[in-house]
Amino acid sequence: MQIRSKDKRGRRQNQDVWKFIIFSVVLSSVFLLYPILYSIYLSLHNMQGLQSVFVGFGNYLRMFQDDIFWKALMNNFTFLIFQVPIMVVLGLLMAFLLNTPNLKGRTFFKLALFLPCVTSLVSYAVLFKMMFQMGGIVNDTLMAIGIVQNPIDWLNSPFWAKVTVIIALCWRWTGYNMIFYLAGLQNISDDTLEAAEIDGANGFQKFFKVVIPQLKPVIVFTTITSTIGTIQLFDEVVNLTGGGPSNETLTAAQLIYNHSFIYTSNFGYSATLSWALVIIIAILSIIQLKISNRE
Amino acid sequence: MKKLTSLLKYTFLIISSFISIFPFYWMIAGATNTANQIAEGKLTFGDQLFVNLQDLFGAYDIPLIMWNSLKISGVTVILSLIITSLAAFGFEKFTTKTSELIYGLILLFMVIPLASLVIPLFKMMAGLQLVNQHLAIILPAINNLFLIFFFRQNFKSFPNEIIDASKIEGASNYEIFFRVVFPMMKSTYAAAAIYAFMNSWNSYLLPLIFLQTENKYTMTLLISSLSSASYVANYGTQMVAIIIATIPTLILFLFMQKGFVKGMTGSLKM
Amino acid sequence: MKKKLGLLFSSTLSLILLAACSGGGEEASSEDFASADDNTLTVWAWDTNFNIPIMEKAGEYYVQDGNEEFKINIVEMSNEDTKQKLVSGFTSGVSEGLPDIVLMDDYDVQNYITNYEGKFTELSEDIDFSQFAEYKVDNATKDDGVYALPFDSGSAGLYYRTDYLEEAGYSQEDMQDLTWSEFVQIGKDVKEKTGKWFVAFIPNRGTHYIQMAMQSAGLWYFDENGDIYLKDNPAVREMAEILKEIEENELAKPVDYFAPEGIGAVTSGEVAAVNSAIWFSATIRSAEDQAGKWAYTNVPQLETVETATPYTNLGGASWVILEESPNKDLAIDFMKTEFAGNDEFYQDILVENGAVGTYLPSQTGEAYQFEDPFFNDAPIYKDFSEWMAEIPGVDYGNNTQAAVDALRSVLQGYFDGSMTLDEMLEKAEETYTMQVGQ
Repeated sequence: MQIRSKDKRGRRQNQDVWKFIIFSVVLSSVFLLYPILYSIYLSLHNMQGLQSVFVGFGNYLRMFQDDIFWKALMNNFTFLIFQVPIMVVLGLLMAFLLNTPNLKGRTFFKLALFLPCVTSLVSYAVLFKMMFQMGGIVNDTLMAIGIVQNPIDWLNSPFWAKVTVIIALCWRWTGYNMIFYLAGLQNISDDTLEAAEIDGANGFQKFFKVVIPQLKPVIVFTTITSTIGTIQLFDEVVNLTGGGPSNETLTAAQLIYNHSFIYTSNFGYSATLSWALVIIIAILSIIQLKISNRE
Repeated sequence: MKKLTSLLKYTFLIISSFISIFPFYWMIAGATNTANQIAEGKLTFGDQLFVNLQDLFGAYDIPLIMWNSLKISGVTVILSLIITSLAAFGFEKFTTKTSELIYGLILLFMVIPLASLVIPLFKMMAGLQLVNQHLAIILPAINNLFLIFFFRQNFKSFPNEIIDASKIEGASNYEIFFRVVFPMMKSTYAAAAIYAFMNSWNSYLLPLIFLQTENKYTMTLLISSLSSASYVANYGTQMVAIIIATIPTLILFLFMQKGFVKGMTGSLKM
Repeated sequence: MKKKLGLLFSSTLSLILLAACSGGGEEASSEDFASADDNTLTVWAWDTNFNIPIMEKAGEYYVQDGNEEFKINIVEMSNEDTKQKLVSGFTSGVSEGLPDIVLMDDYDVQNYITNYEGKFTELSEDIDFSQFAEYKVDNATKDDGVYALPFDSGSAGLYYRTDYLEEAGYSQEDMQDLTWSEFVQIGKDVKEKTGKWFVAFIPNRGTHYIQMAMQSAGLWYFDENGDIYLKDNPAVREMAEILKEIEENELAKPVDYFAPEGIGAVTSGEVAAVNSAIWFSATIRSAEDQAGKWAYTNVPQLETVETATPYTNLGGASWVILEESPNKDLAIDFMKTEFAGNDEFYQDILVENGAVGTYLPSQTGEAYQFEDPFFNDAPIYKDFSEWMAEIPGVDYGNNTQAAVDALRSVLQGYFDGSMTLDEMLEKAEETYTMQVGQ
């Protein structure tokens, strides 16, 4: 098909592309490209409120020595390393189970599992903050069941605060990703699964040998979008833990925000940090794509 | 063995569903309790619903704020669906070297945190006299880059023959798009509409920066201001506000979830 | 090319028109900007239980004072959102959409009047600042100009439950003139004997204790040159050790003291003591069932610092008027008439809202002598106001928020024992320096 569309005698003129993309290109230039170029300009300046001094790459040098920035990045990666795999595996499992024939209550389960992603990021963070209080419902439940003896200080201990953020993220996004896997599963013909069954594959084998390989493109897709989302993580941590304790849940996006609005405002430095983040995300996405293409 | 697997399966689904639903139950129960009861983790329904409703509706013009949110989201969804799908169609079916370059840039732009673009955007909107106008939130949101990507993935499977055939019959490019492509891709549009609506409904940073007066507020903005503007936060009214803000996305999802799943399927043929 | 440009232009235009039309058309109404009206002032403030009703009352008084056309439009906005909107507006040079008057946390005032020169109205020509508590006026002063009107006092004391302390073996006399280490010892006894928490706040975020300690000795996070001053700051050192003891002995219920959980911990009788400002008395009083069970005294005193006093400040806020406000003159007159001249107004908000102003003439009023039955007929307003006059003044500088975050980022490591006191404070200084980019 591609060949024909490139054929000069083809009836579709590729130069017509402008008629389609012009609106988008105009909007991109005005509301994206211009602000981006402007923020590059800002990143070469050190600002303090209304004062601005050209410092060349000074902000970038400062960034390399900024322990807090690297710590925030590490936090982002910690969230990424735990949350994304947990979410992907859970999502896959849910989709696979929902897709089994003769499942009772399929519609109910599907709705229930997808429900979390209708809440806004601000809303669910506020909810989780209430639930994970020291004397909150989560501790009450865990103690009633007897899983823990003493209440866990979810939001204020360095370890548990991270866990809480990861739990919250999984709660909000697993169902969302599950939808993609469900959609992907419908592309796998029943024949393939039946053939596997005839060959004597049990549920686990079917899951790992048939479903996972077939869903690879979907998994790559959700992994990349989740990676971008986790790296840009902001609303949740701000509302749940405020980045605490001891910056243990501080994310890069929150640090950028702090340098813009909470500390003495320095848009130059926060633009620099944004650019570092962009470059890191771009590299990560490329690596992920490369890995998935190689296999 | 089979029974055991089945048991495990249902146990897993039931526990997962319970965890998914529980916060919703808790939120609804919370709306009927006082702030202190909620803080103490009270699980049962109380008799404060009316009081909480009264507090919220008495202090804020909720119908107006709802209308603001609906209007912004509605306009954003319609415009962004048209513009991003047009662009995606162009990128996919009328590929040139330049267009591929532009598309590559767009994919890269997708990762830029919004926070870093706020100041230039603010200056621009001020120049256009749009501060405290809903247009200031709508305009930057229309050209949703993810949607361009999403539509392009879907258009990959759209047969070129149909386009070519319509060309022979003398249809213009736009006619082909709106009369032929659009009707055939309805479920893709449904999925995109849900995505775009949720995105717009939940957007927080842009409204926070551009909207100054309460009569311009959106629901998301109201929720965040409820949770931070007073030292003694009133959990009960917050719960009510969160419930009200969740209803539209919930309804949208319930009615369109079949289309959503189907539409998403198309984007996955990579 | 021309054709392309034409297309580009017309498409963008039609797009904007389309969006505007479907927007319903009511967007452009100018009445949203209160400033468009000569007789209306727009105010940004937070706290619907305190600042907002007080501002409304001030508006009512101003109408009574012969400004019948006057209207006040108060927009509820959190401290963070306020700062964000001010910064966005100032940085992009846009005054549209900004209000006339803004409430500002006292810890932020120096930062803003220094870094946004020309954005705030200089008030000393119109308002007599000798009538305000000196330490608050200092905070609003830059280069001999005064740019903010100090509003409520953060004069602080130690509130405690007499019944719990008695159970732990302490009479009210025992609670007078404490040092911080005595305070901690009492906490241990209370915990052991009553099983209650002693206080409620998160130790690794307990910078408000450090701030109270520093101000009581006339110190702050910065030295006289404005450089970070933690490692050799005796107030920080002593209080860090105190916080560690509180954490190790689990004397504090770990809840945010500003949040409903923290307030709930106090009002539901879970804690025995609170070090806080006069504005917190309203919260304590809201637990009506505990009437008569609460008493107060001065905050504990530092032992290792020569300049230490038992008088300190926590929080408090000031009003600023924006220079570019079209109703600047009205705003000045309004603030002058009510917040810098109306004793009756101050008596009123004291009784109704528990607000102790920093406006000194109001403190001779009758309401200030009020003997509060809740606190066993102690004249709480009079006492806290008298203490207010003794609070050492400090320069909060431009970077308090960055210093707070730097300290909070290391406290837990010190509590856990992974850092010594010196290492922790050194690390905090490094972090601070990196964050402010000096």
